[in-house]
Amino acid sequence: MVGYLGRRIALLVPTLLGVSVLAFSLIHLVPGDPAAVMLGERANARAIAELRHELGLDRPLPVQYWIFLTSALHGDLGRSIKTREKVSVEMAQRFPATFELALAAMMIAVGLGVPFGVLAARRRGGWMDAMVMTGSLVGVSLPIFWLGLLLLLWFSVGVSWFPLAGRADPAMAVPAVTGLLTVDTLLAGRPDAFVDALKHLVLPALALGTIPLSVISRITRSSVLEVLRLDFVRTAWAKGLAERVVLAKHVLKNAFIPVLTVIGLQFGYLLGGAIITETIFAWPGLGRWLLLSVQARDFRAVQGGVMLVALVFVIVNLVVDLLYAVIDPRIRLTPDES
Amino acid sequence: MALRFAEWHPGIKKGLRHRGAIVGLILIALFILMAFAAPLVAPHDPLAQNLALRLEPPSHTNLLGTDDFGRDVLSRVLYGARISLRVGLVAVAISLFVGGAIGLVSGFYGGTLDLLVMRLMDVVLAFPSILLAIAVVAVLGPSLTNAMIAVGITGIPVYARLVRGVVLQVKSLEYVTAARALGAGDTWLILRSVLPNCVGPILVQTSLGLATAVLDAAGLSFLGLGAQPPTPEWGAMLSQSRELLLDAPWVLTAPGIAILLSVLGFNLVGDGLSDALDPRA
Repeated sequence: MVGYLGRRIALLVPTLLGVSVLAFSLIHLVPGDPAAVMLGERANARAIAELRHELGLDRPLPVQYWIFLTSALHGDLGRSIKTREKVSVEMAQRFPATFELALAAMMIAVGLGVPFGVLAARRRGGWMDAMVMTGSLVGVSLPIFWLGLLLLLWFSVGVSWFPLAGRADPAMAVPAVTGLLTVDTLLAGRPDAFVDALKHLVLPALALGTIPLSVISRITRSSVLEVLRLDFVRTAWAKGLAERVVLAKHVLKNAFIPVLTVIGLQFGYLLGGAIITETIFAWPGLGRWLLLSVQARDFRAVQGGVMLVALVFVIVNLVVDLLYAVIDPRIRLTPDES
Repeated sequence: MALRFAEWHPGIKKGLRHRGAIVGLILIALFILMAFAAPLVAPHDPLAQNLALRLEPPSHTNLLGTDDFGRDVLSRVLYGARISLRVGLVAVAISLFVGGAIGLVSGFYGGTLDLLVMRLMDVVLAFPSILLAIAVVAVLGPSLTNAMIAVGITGIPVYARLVRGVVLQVKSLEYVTAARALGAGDTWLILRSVLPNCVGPILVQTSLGLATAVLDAAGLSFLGLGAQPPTPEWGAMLSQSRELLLDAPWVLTAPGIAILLSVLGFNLVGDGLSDALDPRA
């Protein structure tokens, strides 16, 4: 297992180096003088020269990259051009909000998607199967920015069950411990603030979770169908085991590897989808910050955001790979083909 | 002609009997019809402002109502089909030709080149596609053309991997070895034995890819990074409708349904083709 872990991590090094080159190039691919572009049309020559110096743009390219890489490895991603704040600090402030949103979306997606998939597979061709398959097709085709607006229209404007925007009522502030409001409010012993945080979370999480929910229910269905026709399942039925036992113990356990892969891949989608969802619901997370940074042409901030998201995505995929190896020993025992 | 096309690939014939795929084809046909017929059937000029008719609810003269500039929503949605269709085709063409060429060469020649190229593709895949597209637009500047390029770039690794996989599989088949032994050159081998085997998987991927491209490009426009106002692009229209949520909910209904149905059409056809081409089915 240790050897397997080592191999997987070693494979990440070239990918992450590549990510850093790509993020570094962002500033240099901007047509024209990036410093002038960042400062806008009214900037004077001196300010531009100063920014060029601050960004190190007056040095040779390899030196610039080396400085960028070594500081990034120390967690230093430079300062935001707009706020003058450290990019790493700005991101650390916003990361918990995005993490909480993504986690809630994933809980909805897995919590509903896996049971839906199993129910659909159990009676292949039945009405439940038709509903799940149709629903999941519509789900993956649904633009989440439209779904988000509809949810707001129906549940915030129409019946005002949920708040229109943001993460919490300012009157409900609690001391930040984990950064996850639903956890912090409970730690502070404030059930009223917890309900408030939860109400803010529901609509964005639903909007963000729809696509993963659809994808997960589809893959669960096909994976369960695949396992259902294997011999050991027939034996389990023949032994007279209850349907619940056959499905939970024999089928689902073996059908879970493809589902796990998809869950990992969907995390990457969630990180991207958060940009759109956070914009609609004015959720103060990393995605909205990244978009605002793009609009403000704050390339230092964009660089940092891009690096962080790619890093998280790559780590999630590593964790998924390791989980496979835990579930299925064959994976870690056979040498890599690549 | 239609018959010949159906005989050309066994999967297509099977796909034509797939119920979902038929519904998908009808949706796509409607979508294409909308794009071509927009100038003929649109009741109004999609850009014509009429401030006297701001935010009118649906009526006889404006079947789907008007937006905050008094523009006819129906006409804008019809014209929007032209933009989304073009975005989808251009973006997928970029992904397909660049990615396909990379996959062909990389898989066919193998070795260090293959290793380097595939690691590069891993790097691109390390970014969620919408983030990569946003980064590209951030660099190139927001516009519809740049959004197409951005969405096209995010699809490149998908096609590169797909085609490379098929090439590796085909390369080891006996008839290819035989052809090579008979003196067939690389170009002949690629064109005659490798490419035809890629057709099936590429058809599936292209159909699904069109769905993603239309959706992602609309998303970029929604974020203000794609089509700019007053272009009648569906995502951009939804973005403008955000402030009108309370006053004019009809402004957000039609563009959303248009995106949903066109994307659904491509997804249905992709699914149908994938079922039809699956040897196990």
